[in-house]
Amino acid sequence: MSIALLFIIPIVLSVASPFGFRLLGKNWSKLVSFFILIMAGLVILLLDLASIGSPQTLSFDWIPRLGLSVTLRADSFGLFMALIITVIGAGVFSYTSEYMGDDPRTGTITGWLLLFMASMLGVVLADNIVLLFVSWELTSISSYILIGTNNHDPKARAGAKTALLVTSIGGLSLLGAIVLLGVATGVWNLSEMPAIHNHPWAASIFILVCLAAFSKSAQWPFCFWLPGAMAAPTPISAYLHSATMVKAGVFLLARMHPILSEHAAWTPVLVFFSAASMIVVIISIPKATDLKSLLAHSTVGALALMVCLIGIGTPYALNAMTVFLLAHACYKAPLFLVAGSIDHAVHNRDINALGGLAKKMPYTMLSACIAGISMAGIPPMLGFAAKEMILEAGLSYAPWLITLITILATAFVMVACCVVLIPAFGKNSCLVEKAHESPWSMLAPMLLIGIIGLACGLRLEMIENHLVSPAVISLGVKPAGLGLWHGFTLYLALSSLAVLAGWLAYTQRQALYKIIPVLPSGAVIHEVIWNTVLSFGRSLTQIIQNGSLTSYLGTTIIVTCALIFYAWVQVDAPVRPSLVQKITLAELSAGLLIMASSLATAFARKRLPAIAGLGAMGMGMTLFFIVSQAPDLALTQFLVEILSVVLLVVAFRHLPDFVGEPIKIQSGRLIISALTGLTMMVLTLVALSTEYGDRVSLWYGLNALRQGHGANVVNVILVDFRALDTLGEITVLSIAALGVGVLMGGLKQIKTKKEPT
Amino acid sequence: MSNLLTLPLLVPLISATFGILARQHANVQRWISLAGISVYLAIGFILISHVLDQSYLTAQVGGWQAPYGITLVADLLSAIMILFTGLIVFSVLLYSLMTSKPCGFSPAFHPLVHFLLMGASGAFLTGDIFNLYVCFEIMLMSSFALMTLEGKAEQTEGAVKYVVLNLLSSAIFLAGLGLLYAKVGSLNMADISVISQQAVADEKVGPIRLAGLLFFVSFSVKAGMFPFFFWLPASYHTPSPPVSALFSGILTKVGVYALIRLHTLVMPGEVLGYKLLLTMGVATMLIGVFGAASQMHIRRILSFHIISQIGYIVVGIAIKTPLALASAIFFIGHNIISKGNLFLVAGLASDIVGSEKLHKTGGMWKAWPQLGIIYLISAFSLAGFPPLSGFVAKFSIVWATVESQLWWVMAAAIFTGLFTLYSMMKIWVEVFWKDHPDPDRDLTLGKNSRRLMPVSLLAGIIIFLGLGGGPLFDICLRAGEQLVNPAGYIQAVLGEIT
Repeated sequence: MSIALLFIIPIVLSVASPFGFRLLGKNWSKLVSFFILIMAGLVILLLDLASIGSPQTLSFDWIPRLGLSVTLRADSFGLFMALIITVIGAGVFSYTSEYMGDDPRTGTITGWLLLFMASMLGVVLADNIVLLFVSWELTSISSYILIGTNNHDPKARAGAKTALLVTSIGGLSLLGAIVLLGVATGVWNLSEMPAIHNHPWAASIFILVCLAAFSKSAQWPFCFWLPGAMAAPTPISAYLHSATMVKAGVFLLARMHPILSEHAAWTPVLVFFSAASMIVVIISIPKATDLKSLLAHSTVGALALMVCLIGIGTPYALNAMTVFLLAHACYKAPLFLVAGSIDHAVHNRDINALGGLAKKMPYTMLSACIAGISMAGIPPMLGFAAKEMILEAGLSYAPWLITLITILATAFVMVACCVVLIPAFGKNSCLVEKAHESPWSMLAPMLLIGIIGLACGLRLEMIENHLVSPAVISLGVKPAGLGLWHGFTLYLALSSLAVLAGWLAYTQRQALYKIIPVLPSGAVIHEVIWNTVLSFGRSLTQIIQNGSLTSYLGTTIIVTCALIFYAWVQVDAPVRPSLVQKITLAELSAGLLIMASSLATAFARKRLPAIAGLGAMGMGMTLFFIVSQAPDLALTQFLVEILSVVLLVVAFRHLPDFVGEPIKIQSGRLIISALTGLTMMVLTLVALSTEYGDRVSLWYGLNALRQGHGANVVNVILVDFRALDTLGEITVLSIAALGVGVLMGGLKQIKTKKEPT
Repeated sequence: MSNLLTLPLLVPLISATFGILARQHANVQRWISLAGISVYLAIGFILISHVLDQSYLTAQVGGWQAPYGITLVADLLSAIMILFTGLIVFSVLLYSLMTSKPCGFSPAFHPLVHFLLMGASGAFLTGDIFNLYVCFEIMLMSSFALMTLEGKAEQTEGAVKYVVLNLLSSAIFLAGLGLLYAKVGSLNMADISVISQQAVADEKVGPIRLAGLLFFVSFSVKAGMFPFFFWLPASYHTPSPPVSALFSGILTKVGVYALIRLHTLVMPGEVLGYKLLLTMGVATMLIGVFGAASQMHIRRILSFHIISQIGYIVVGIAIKTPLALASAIFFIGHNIISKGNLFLVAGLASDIVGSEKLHKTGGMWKAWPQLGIIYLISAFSLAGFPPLSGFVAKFSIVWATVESQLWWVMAAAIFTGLFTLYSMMKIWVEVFWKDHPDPDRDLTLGKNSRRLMPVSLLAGIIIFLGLGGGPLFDICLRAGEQLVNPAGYIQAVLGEIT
């Protein structure tokens, strides 16, 4: 039951949010924050259950035939993520209350944030892969709306668009992946899924999973959307785009590890792409001057490290990944919140403009220091322990990788320095005057989350026993011991080197700025690809839907004729010339009359001759009916022709005299006409012989008088045997009358007594 | 019970007739119209519950036994189509009762809608292929009149293209009918099915295939498939929005319905090239979505989307397993509701912002967040996002392609999803998020706020079809199984004769 509460609480709160905000103002978010803390408590209770090997599950059917059921399973790794989501969530909601203040949008934003939280919990606790996908897509949607919070700003709209499009590439790939997985294994629950690396579809599934994970977790070549998403208000960036949502990709890879990691491509592909992302990050960081953008780039780097560790795939690497995931959440979220506070206070986030805020905002800067030390990987923070483990795991793979990781760690140190030292202790700027300390509901989250990182570092054993070890066990690997102090090892040396180099890079950043090459921006490349595809689509549409009825008709006719001829060649549909040998003189003359009059109609330059031609054609048809001994049809046709000629003449009398252009014979139209005639001729010849009898028409002949009580078979068919058709045709005529009435304007006015509403 | 089957034709006919009689009294006419559609909707529910019990309902019109008379048949597919058609027409009529646009005033509007409904019901229920032709004529004539209702030049131009291309399609249909009747001497679809199976055994099926191909072309025109869809983008954006919504919900869907019948009943087996259908489905999907992505006009975007979505449905029909057919049917139902709602929302939004051209719109998210949420629900549903109806539809289609190992089709379906999302977002950004180019424009709904009711109703159905889609999908699956095994249908129609 408690697992259901994890979803019921945020969803109910989410729906209530617009009203709650109207009622309670900014206290609403604080109330929400309190509820989320209760949820965090629930998660801890569930963790206890899971660690003794009986994870709570919940399952009910949704669309069983499609493998879709709501199956939740609170295993340790999922709960580990859920704990991060709820604890940081509680902080973010408390922070939001003051950050947004009395902004009227707060109610909606809180609602979307809660919806996001529920879907993120769905991602991490889903056992059913379709449910995982459903939650995954819901995080994309809520992220889209949240990034676009400042929808009046074109930058926010563009950032939201890019984020949604890129994550949707991943979402759609994931859709493919889960269907393939489900159909291949016949199992839809992750906990029961066998390893499938030998299955012929394994490679496709792996590629699709990678696309999903890389796009969600902003890995190269999709890494550009994350900096663009920084247009969102800072609490949203802190929550979605550093602590939780972007980790969904990493989470997915970790979940797929037991299923796919034996595949030969697993390690090389993941390590390659994460290394590429690291290189992009290393090059981007010295160029960035915006606090949030700096943090966003370093988030991409951190995610790359996690992907890399999952790629290496050894138990030790997975342990390192788990620890780092925790450490990253504990330092990155507070740093974002600090950036938000600075922005809130002085309305500026540019490191070249900030400085000297330590006096005015002491507690904010204290939290920045705590988190920054962890990010730089300095003992006794959790970040230090994580870094040591990462270096060790990296070395087990390849020396080049560990070099890269060390450089990345250097870049992290530099970011930490930029984000913490410049705003706090840089030279006083004019902005300092405006600065003011943030209220406690903003300070508490950043301080507390940072302190959690510190506490974790100090009480590593507790973390190991209660969080990390159970989590990695549920990923199917052995736990490895954690330790803050490994002795004087190579890793310590590398780690210290990174800190020193980072400090150096920080002090010399103006020089670095000049050396580092400019990367072609991923966002620009993305834009170019989209625009190419779109302009291709546009020209295609302009060719096809060109507005000319002639070309529409031509295409339809040509395709139809081509299909018929193609089929006629393929199938056995004999044309029997023997049946058409007996052409009488009457038939021949009728045929000639029809042909001559249709040519006359086509080449007529005035209306009256054209109508006359049409009439003559009809008379030719009447002749045919007479020859075929169908007097009633002939009579009907005769009357219809006369009537239509008379009506047309009357109607055209009111129109100005029309003189057409001299007719030019256009070869295209000639071909179309000839093709149509030829096709109809072939079809008629094919139709000549009956094969499966005339059972029905014989029956009509026999029963018209006997059962229908009419001597005229056609009449009985029309009014009795197939009366429904006649009813339909009468309806068509009535509709036509109504339509003509509308067109002539006769039905336009209606006398309504009172003003219509 | 067989009289039940005549009601979906009779009720709209009666409502239309009385509507014409009451043309001088706008309010009376509206009540007649609303009463008529309510009764129709109720019949839709009764019909589906009976079909669920008895699998097939038949009625031999005039008491003439099949194949001599005309038979009305309802299997699950027919019942589902009737129900969804009833739902969208009900919402559209509700919406148009609350509109202040001229089409709500035209005394011909309500009767014409009911005539259209009658034609559609006839098409869904008839077991006779010539009667199907007649029903197409009813629909063509009434939709043509609806399209020109306001008499704008733009509407007439679109309507002419619409009617000319559809008349061509009718002519092709008629040619096929002539060829078929000459060959098999019957018009009853169940009877034709029996004979064409016999012809396959006798190796004399060639001419029947040619007739089938003519039907296929004709129905493809009606369904708006590539390369026959020209009439649709040329005309759908011109009438008043409720009429567009109605068309998107009914016209192309009847074409698709006819394709299903043709492919599963009239010409079963490999009579229609399976690859042809599949290729055309994929081409329709892609070209439709490219068209949508390149437009800058709300209803033009939506019109091209209809085409693209038809592609998905056709892919389901082509694969022709019970699951694929079930997903095609679910897709039709979902699309009738989601697309219809998008047209209605678009109409409402463009009334308020004063234009349908995207560069002249904006500001709706701030002014009317409720409408924004309703738009988002419909648009994300169309793009196949969970947990909405479109997700179930797309997911099952993708599943069907995976089961049949049609990788290129699956890739196309997924690729199309991305562009669908793109164009849905384009409308969202330009109409809702962006500020209105004219900052002084009054964006209040005024009396329009009542029109939120029908669109909320449809949005509710979209969510319901997503979250509670299980039972409906099971029904669709049963419908798919009925279609794959036409023996039951034939037995029900022909009775002891076979």
